[in-house]
Amino acid sequence: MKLRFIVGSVCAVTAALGLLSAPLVAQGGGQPAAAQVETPRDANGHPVLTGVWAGGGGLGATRDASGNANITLRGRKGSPVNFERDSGIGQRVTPRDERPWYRPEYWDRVQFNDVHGHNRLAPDPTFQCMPDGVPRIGFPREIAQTNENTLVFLYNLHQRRIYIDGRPHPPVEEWIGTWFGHSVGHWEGDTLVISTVDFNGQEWIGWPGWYTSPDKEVIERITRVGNTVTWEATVNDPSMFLKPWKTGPIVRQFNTDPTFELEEPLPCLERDLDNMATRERG
Amino acid sequence: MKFKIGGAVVLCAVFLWAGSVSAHHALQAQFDTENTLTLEGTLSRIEWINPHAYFWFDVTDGSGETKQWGAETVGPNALRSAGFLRGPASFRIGETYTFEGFAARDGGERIFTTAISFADGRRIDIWIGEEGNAKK
Repeated sequence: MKLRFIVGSVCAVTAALGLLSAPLVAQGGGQPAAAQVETPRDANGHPVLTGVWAGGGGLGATRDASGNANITLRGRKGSPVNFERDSGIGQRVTPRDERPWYRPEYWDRVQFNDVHGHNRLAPDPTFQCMPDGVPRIGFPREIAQTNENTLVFLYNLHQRRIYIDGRPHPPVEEWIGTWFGHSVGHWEGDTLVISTVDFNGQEWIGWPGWYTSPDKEVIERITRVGNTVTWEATVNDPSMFLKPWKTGPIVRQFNTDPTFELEEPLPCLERDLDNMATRERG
Repeated sequence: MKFKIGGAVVLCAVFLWAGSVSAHHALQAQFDTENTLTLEGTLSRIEWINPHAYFWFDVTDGSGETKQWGAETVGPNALRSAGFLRGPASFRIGETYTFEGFAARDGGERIFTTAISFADGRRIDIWIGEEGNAKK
């Protein structure tokens, strides 16, 4: 029972954080976790984030010699309905302090979103294959530095640019409203601190109807120690929240295999929204 | 011997893991898990898409009428990692397959797939097992 609760919680947390957007869940490649490796640093002494932060895990799926395959999911009493309901509970059962603290005037809408997250009234944007936004997308599969000013974060189907040359965000009058916002980063010791603003406000930050305003600011903190990176984020949305909401940490291992290839991610197309016959969401 | 994909993370991964998609809906809101259908048809189209792979196949009933059915299944990465996305041993448009699955609640021509059988006898089982009671 406890195990199943933990499983559900893992589902909830990983889904909420967008961990599953990586092809290989939170696994690093080829690097024993216990190994102590010196943190690689650039010419300015900052930890290097460039590289692949995925791989080495996998679903472990192979076909047998006869060509048969068996894809097994685990559900209470072997029931797909229990599987779904437990998953839904896992999504919603979050300790009080780990939930966003909405101002009371937003409680009804959050509940409405939760109830209708899989129908046309208030669909969860990611259910419609819309972008996750920040911080729901989590940590990227790969990071590239294209010039001294720019880090590119590469996710499954999306990308972000983090400007690290000290520029400010554009003035509010020039904001255009985007899924992933405008991101600038600076180093505080060995931690890259990223500020992101200029959202469109369509993205949710979590499955249970957790919507936000386009005025929010997201602060991400990324710390590399050896070959381990830790990501956490804080959402400041004072017009909707009574206090900032924190999410994470996500911990990833650097993929040390220089020959490793990331698979092309498969596209997303939503087909179910119009075929729901009941309200049950999870 | 068939293989199985197990583990807590995979449990959520197969259903939830989907490109940039973490959202998921309850299959029982769309499909009746108490009402299973077995349909033989000619494969006309495959969509290797998230959050659920889709097989489209033509089924001819006793009166000779042909209808296109859609078989929704788990996330495509599970099938991809099992080697079914492409290759000579994978699916072929125009060949005959038998699909088993839960019927759509709205009566539409769709199922949620629990098994796919190839004409040569190979079979993919997609099923919910109880923890500690894995099918061998």
